[in-house]
Amino acid sequence: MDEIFFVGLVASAFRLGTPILFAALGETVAQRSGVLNVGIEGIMLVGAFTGVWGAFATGSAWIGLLIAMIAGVAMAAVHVILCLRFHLDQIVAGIGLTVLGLGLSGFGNRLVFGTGQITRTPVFERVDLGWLSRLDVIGPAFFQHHVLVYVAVALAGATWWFLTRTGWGLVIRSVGEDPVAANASGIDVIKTRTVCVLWGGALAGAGGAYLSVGQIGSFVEDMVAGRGFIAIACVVYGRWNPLGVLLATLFFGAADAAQIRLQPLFPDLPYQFFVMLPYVLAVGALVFLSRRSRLPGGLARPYAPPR
Amino acid sequence: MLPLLDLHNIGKSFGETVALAGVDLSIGAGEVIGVLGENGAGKSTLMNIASGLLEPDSGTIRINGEPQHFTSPQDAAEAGIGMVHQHYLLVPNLTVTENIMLGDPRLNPLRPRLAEHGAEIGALAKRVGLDVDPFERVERLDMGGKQRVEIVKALHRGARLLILDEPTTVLSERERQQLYDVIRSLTDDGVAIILISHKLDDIYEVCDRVLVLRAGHVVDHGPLADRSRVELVRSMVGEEIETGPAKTAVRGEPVLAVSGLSVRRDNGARAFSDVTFDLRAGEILALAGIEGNGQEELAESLTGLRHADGGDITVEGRTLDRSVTALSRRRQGMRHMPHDRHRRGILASRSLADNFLLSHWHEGRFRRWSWIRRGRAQAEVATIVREFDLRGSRRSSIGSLSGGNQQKLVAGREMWGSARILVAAHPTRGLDVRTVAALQDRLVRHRNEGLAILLISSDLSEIWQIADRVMVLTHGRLRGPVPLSETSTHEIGAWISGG
Repeated sequence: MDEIFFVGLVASAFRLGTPILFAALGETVAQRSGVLNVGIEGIMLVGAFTGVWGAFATGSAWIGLLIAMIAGVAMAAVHVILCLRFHLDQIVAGIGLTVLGLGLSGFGNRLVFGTGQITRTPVFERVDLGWLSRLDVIGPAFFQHHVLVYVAVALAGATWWFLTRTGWGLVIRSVGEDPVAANASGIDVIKTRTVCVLWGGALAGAGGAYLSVGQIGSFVEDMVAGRGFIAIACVVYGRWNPLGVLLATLFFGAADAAQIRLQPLFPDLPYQFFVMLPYVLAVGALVFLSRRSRLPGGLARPYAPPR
Repeated sequence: MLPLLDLHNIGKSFGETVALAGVDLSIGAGEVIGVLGENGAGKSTLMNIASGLLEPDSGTIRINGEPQHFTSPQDAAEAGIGMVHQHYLLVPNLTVTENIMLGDPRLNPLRPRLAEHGAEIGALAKRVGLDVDPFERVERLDMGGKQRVEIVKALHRGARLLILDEPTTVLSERERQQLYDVIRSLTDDGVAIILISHKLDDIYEVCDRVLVLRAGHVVDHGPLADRSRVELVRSMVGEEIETGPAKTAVRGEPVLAVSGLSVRRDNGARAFSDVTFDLRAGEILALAGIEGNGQEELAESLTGLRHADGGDITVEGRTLDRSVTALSRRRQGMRHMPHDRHRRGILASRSLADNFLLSHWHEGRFRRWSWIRRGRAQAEVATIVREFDLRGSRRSSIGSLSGGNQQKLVAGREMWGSARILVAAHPTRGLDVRTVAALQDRLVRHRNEGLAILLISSDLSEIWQIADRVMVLTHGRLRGPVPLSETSTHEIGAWISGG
């Protein structure tokens, strides 16, 4: 394997893994609090559209990102109302959210931009990290990315610290593990879960905005293409540990990057086989890893405080 | 001196069920009160009110004379009330210190400093004589260890009154003695303790006073020294009724023989061991005792819902394979009126006919190849409705009927057809007098026709009314069975209380 291949692969792993990482980190927090949100895909789509719309309207990619996060919170609020207020089945509500996001983003896109023409909006600039960026091999692989890539990686560390080293993290973990015990200790289970799910929505919105504003500068219908579900899978591979989730998303990003590069090397094989590769790896890893993983005890179980 | 805690005229209802009515309880510093009562008597509801988990519908709570209004366990904890629940409310994958500090306002959310808090907790535990490692994960502790954590947690929050809910059910003998020692050392420090139990041993070991609840009312209250064990059991389970109606059935051949049966609880602790008895056709054999002494586990192991880890069950001379399922036992004529009707007895959202089929779908009569013959089931339901005087629309879901009518369908369904053995767990509990009489009458009638009935009941008056023989499960052992004519409620009461 030559140097250019390696550099391209690593760089792409970060580039392709980042939107998934954002969504997966938010989902990790939500799941650690005991709420499964399988509607991440729909939230990412809404984030992708509102991000482009905001960036286009204001001329700033950053304001686009902010608007995408707010839209993500609004979408997650639907999940909060359905699951935490009305105790609906979390999987059913999440599937509803996926479909809602698909419809809303497609509809919004046609309403604002019409069909056909591709709109170009401002994008996130790459950061210049001085001598680091100019290093041989290492530079292009690690230090010439969009600033959001570094934000996402730092966020993984921060989420880990928050969940395992702070009192708030302790509260979140207890609520996800055993809401009855947490309630008896005087913790407001519903409030804690609400905050976590809304945070998960904000990050899924950011992940969507990275896909659209960060990568191509426009919105295409259904552009998230299953990454929301991959994010949920990454939470499982990462065993609900933000650092594990970081590795899982990079692994998936690398697999995705590899398949794109392998396609031209085997022109006789249908390209669909290569597109399939990351998903096959995902299923394989899930079978292998899930046997030893331990999910939060209260995950996806509706909870109503006694009274 | 003002009492530490004073509960006055407490009332609480859940829907139409009255859980507590006009209950008074007061306790002073350094005092230990035992609260006795059957399951469902209202003990846990009362303590959940005292500890802020539930709000009372009526009545007042005072602490040192100050009226209180608890809206959360936090409020009660701040007022100095700590509760140790029967099912420990600890988060399994957190450490002891993390569990104790959870929800504590002294925990700094940004810098939790768990090492310092842990050292402090270790010192506190040591002072009151509790063996607790503050940095161990809770899931690695045994039951006694978890209980010690709960006690330390309450004390660490500054509790001056500890409520212990059934503290000894899951403890070994040695751990029980240690708990008694801890209780004594705490009361020397002026901590007041309310001990909820249905074990008289616990009450006699550490309590000064006793309060007995039955069906949400206080039926007895006063110094323990004035009361005998038998008197306490009688106020818990109700007054005996002298001599039931004459029994006409002839006891036939044994249809069920159990020998050396040993079964574990869900938590792996032994429910009972070496249980041996036989059940004959045309008799009602009662299993008396206070709930939670292995009766449910016995019913489950007989009906194929729980794996026995030792001993034999023989039905009509054939020893059953231990791995046998509930369905194959049913095919041999074993029927079951389960302890928890809503969980195991009925499908609340389905019709009476579907609920009938729940027990009989596998019988050829109700099937043609893979199709269920619902019409035939409906015809059988109609006969049950007539026989049991079941009130309610046959078209509606069973969940919309009253509990008594639901139980009539379950009883009719289980005694229908080729039933040989019926395990009836608390068949009349919680039902009104007329329904109780109707159900007891049907049980006796089917017994007279040759059905062998194992009646699990904690109501001695019911046992004396309809049973032929009685046995008692207590402390994991079986006593009896003996014919009712050769014993008395006093003797059985003494067996139940472990005397």
